[in-house]
Amino acid sequence: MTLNDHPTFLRHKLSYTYKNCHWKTMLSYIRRFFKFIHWLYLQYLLNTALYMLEPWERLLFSTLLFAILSTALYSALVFLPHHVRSMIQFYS
Amino acid sequence: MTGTLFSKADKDIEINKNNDCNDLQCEEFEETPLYAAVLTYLSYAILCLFGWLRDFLRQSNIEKKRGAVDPNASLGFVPLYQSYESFYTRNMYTRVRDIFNRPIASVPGAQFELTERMSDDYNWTYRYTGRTISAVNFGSYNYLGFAERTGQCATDAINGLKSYAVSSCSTRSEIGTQRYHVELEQLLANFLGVESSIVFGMGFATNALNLPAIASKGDLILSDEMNHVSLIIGMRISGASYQTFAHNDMNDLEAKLHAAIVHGHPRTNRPWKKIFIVVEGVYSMEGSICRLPQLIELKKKYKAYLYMDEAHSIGAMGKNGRGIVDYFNVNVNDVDILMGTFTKSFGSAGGYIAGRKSLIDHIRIHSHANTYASSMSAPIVQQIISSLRLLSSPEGKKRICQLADNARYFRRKLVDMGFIVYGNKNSPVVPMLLYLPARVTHFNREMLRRGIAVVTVGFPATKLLEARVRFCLSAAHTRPMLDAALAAIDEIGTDICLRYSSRHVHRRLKDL
Repeated sequence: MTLNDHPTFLRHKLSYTYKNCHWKTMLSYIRRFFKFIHWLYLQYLLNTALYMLEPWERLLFSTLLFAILSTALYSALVFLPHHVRSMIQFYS
Repeated sequence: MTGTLFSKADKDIEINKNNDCNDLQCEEFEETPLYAAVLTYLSYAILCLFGWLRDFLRQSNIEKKRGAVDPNASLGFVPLYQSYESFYTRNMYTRVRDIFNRPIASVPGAQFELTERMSDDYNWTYRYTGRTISAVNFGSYNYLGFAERTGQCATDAINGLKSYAVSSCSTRSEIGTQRYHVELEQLLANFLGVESSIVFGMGFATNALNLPAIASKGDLILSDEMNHVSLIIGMRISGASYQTFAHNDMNDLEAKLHAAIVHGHPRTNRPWKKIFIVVEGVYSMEGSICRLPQLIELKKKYKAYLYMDEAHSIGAMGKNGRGIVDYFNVNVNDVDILMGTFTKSFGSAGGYIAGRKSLIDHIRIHSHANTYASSMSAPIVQQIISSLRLLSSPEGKKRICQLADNARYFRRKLVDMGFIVYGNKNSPVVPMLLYLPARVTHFNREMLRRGIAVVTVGFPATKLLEARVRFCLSAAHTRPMLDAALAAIDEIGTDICLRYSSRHVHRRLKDL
């Protein structure tokens, strides 16, 4: 059996690889994104010396940091518009 | 981490002007970048905080104490251990202890075996799995590649062992001086071009026990601030006064010499009996070379004595391997006391002092290391004798050239990639700066994962900010080994951003 006996074989094969190529690049993008997140996490660990600490110490520090940062962010979101508006009113 | 503002040609000219470059003394010590300093302090602050937390937990018995514990603390005795001094050891060193002090399982040649060890409790205890890891060795002071099990030197050492057995069972001054000691001392004196020399069994003890023999109370010793601990201990034991001058800074040294001669002793203004200048040939933590021509000029002008510790430079520097004197091509009789060790370039153990016959005769009588320490063992002396003989032959010249080539190639590649590397461009010791303690740890572990064993050094041995990795190149390293190491450094350096240099453009290895 040669290739010429199945004229639709090649077309089916081509269409199959085209669809597969699509999924493969999407998967590689997702993989690269996860690798980037992992790299960012490694940078966070290295620059704050958490890399040398035990897992529970990392959790403790990260929790504290997240709590402080989220409180600051929430306060900014709630109070900044009012403060800015009253400052503009005061100086105008 | 992109390129810098200036072109490379401008940068080179700037470096040359700043660093007194006449090709032999071309050194570079780039300043710490601000962000690296800030991050390092931040890391140590966080480690301190967690150290205090863990110490509190241990003190209040919530957590078990795993370090050394004073057994009689409750009985009212004076405390045995200073708990604050070991704060660093307990809370920072022990966490990453697996990267230091790795036991090895073979001869420390260019390729060697490390024992594999696992820890279940974060490096407080280890269990050995029994397997070994094969790795390229960038940590041993094997400059000329004499650490080998086979070859002429090994055969000679074995024959020495068969003829003379292991121990001489006596001191040099009693009945422990053997033929091979006399032969070694004569051979060494001829090799260095001096009148006479004396050898000791331990390199550290050579410094620590012979400085007291030549310096005493009423003398002044001016030592470089980066001098090795053995020299500092020797200075302290001797009872002489000592001052340090800034590293390789000849102006500072001249000012101190001038002040010493003009003012004399601090309170009584009596003149100093003798003034010594103590320097090292190659500083192993900085990779820099002492400025010998200027030192000799200063020494002659102010009539001081020069003591040069060539532990890392004998055999490794110079056209014929004769050390820094050979490297700068000065008269060897200008350096009063030449000291060196056999551990580094000769693949053996021990130290020597060489100089005028009157000096060596004085040391033979007055040195504690000669009178009380047992004399060197036969196979060790035989290894040094055969490696000294080999150095004068064509094969030795090949090793010296290979080492110089390796050193320059490796250093050039690292600098061109954008890493901060300290020191003279010809020195076989290449310290690369990593600054942050976590990056130091990660670098070490990643290099071992790629089959390259390196030595990283941190706080007590270096300044707090300047943690570094120190590559010790060897004549036994082949170009493929260096290339593998450079590829690994390039990869890890890109991954964790180790390219700190602002004087050189950051490049990947494949672009060089």
